[in-house]
Amino acid sequence: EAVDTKLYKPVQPDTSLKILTATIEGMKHWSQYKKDIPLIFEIYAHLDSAISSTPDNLGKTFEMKDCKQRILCTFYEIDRPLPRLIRGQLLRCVGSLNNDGTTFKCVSVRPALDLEKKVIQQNIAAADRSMRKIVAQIKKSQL
Amino acid sequence: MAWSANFDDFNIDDNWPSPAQPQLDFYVQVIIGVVLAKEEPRAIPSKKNPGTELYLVSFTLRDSPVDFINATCWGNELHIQQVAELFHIGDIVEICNAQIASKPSDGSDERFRPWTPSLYQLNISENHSTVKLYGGWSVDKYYSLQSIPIKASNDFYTLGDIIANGQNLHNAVVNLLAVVRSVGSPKDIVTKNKKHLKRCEVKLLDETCLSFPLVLWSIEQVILAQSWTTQDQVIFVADARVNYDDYKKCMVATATSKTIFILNPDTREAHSLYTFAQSVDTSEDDLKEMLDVANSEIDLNTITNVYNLEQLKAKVEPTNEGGTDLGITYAYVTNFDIDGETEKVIARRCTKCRMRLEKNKLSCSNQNCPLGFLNDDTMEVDYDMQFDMGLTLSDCTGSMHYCRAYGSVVEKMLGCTADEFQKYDDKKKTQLKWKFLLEKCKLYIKVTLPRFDRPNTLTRILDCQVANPQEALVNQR
Repeated sequence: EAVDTKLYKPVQPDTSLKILTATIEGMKHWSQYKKDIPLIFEIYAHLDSAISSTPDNLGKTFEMKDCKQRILCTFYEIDRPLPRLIRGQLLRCVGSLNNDGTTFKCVSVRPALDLEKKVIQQNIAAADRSMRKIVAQIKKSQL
Repeated sequence: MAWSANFDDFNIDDNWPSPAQPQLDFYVQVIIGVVLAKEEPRAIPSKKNPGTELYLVSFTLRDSPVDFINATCWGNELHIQQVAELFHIGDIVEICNAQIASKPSDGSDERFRPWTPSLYQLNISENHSTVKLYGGWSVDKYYSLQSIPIKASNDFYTLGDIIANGQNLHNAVVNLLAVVRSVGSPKDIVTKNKKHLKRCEVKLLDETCLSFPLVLWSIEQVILAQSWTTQDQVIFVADARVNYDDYKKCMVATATSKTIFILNPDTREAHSLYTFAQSVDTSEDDLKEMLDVANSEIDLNTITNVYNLEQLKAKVEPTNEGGTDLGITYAYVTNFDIDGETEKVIARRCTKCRMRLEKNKLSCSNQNCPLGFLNDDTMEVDYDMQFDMGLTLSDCTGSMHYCRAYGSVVEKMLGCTADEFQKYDDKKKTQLKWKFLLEKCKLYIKVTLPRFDRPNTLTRILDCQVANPQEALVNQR
């Protein structure tokens, strides 16, 4: 019997770490699968608050806003300080969403480059395509 | 090296008949045996009919623990070609009505053929005799003959003995007992007199030496070697020639037409060698060999194929075998731990033998290092430092671990040599790290697919620079 189930097992989805370019809304959506796949997000959004210290005083916190949503961000200055940022600036942040979906824990924060700005939409589309494919595979394998 | 053993050295199983004198008066006589050695077909000028050529193929047949005999098939070109393709070393053949002839007593017969204990030799003619593959039931009995020694079990040189004797052994014929470490891919060679040969280099190892070349020149021996499993196969090489290779500046063994391979001999020496081989880790040396190959420059401009990581990973599926592939990928570097332990970033290699020094050690642990037997833990060697690190790459389709980046590739990325890098403080290293970590990079990749002797895929980074975002879109077709 063991052999039979093996034979009919669908293709195993690739559950290695993925880096997705996403909107804040997209990040919240795809994060529901993070128990199945480790995910890191690359988010482009405007800095929309002053930068202050986290309550534990160990990191920095700020808010970002894209065309639809806003999100609270944290950055812990483990090996380097947060670079100088200007409110209103388009930032490029890389990190992951915390478990309750309220805070974006950033590990890399910097102003977005002009060249990057032009290709954000294409990168988001590519990440969506790739995620839809993998989610379909995961659902199939869980049947 | 002459035969110095007695047949008493072999523990003859009672099941085996005692060696009998050949029966010369049978009308239909059948000889069954396993092929121990075989030469390629060749032609010699006929003495009877000057101007014509006689075709022949020679082999050595064994049918008991103590008996083996040389045989020669004679016939026209087509017939000999067919016989030659019929069987290979290790096959069991059945010969009918061979002519049994005495061997010349002066030994001239065995100058270019394996030594045999028999006083006779077999002549197999196209018209009167037949050769075919054995179709009977006693296959195991004959196959096992491949593993029974033909010389005393202790009559061999260790690889270390050969190296220690050096040029004193130049052109000597010796026996070896060793484990197959790797089997190289066969190469076609055309000699000055337009002769086509196959050359295949096998690396041997034993307790005294971790890598010793054995060169095979005959197609039949190359076919045999392709079946050897590395680090599991013990071979007793009877009558190999050793000589000093001026080009490689080391001793080399060569299999000749006199050489016989006994596979996995059931002797105490072979068993202990097998146990030793299972404990040896040769992966570091494989890496070294890869590095040597890698040093030959690859022109990056010739690499044009762009893959995402999903496509690249499909290429390294274990179903594919051998070969290399080159490609470009645009991916994020997700592991680039250069501000941690230096050992993970920089390899210290002995200047003499290029072996990587162990962590916190200043001595070379390679037993083959030209510094020779003087090597011990207290002797400090000269070493140089080179970048040698593993990166993880990720994109929206997945991640690829253990992509190696060496030497000049990392120097170009970081803009400094390994020596300079080591002197940097942590702040500077961290700054360099974030130049690449979690940034989208353009990477030129070389994938070396696994071979039977090297089960791991090697993914090597040939160049890594931060990508132009617009250019990187081609990854997303």
